[in-house]
Amino acid sequence: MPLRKKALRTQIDENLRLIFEEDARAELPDRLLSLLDRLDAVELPPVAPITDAEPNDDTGGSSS
Amino acid sequence: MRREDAKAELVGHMKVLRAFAMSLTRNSAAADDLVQDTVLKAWAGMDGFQQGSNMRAWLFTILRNTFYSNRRKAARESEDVDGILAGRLAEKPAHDGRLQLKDFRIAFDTLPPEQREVLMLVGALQHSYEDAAEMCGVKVGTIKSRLARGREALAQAMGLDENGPLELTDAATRAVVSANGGQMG
Repeated sequence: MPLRKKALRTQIDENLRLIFEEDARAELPDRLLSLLDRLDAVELPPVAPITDAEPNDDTGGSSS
Repeated sequence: MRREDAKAELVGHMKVLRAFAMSLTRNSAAADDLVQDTVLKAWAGMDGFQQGSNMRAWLFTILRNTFYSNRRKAARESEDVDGILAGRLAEKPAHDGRLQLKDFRIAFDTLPPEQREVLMLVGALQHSYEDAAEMCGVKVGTIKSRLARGREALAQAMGLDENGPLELTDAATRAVVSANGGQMG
């Protein structure tokens, strides 16, 4: 890969990391903290059959 | 996996999960909705999660699948937001080609979600092509092409090319990157 192209890619990835970090540093909103607090009390629905990770099957399978 | 252990691990992934939701939705309220749906689905499906496997990747998969499911059902990706963003982008760059982070974010937000998710998974979080392909339910080649198109679009949107200046970040931004050693928190 040409050096300049590699440098450009590195810079783009650095900025991607920065904007992701910025969002990941934000405090969780109260509604999500509340959800975690009451998670144990959530009534669990019957588990749907798990097939693959296509969009219609939202839970997919465990990733290795 | 015991529920209490699963919950502890789930809580540990919440901020990163929300950041990933932000990259897809570009809207904090929508991101919170998406994370909430994801957590509830994950909790309900926790019996299908194998202990020792990658919970973060599993959560990312649930989140992005939920995002696309909702998107298909509602078909309401905000045209106004896209229009505003496109208008703002048309005004760039006002600082001699020096790319500020906010401009970069604006450029990023104009990309299709299929490119944004791959840019975040591979570019920001350094997942392998194979891991990203598994999380997104597509082939490795699709990941590579989306990544290439996304990077190219970002470079073009910011007026950068292989022959242009590479002042992609300002001094403050570089300092942050350097201080963090380029690592995620």
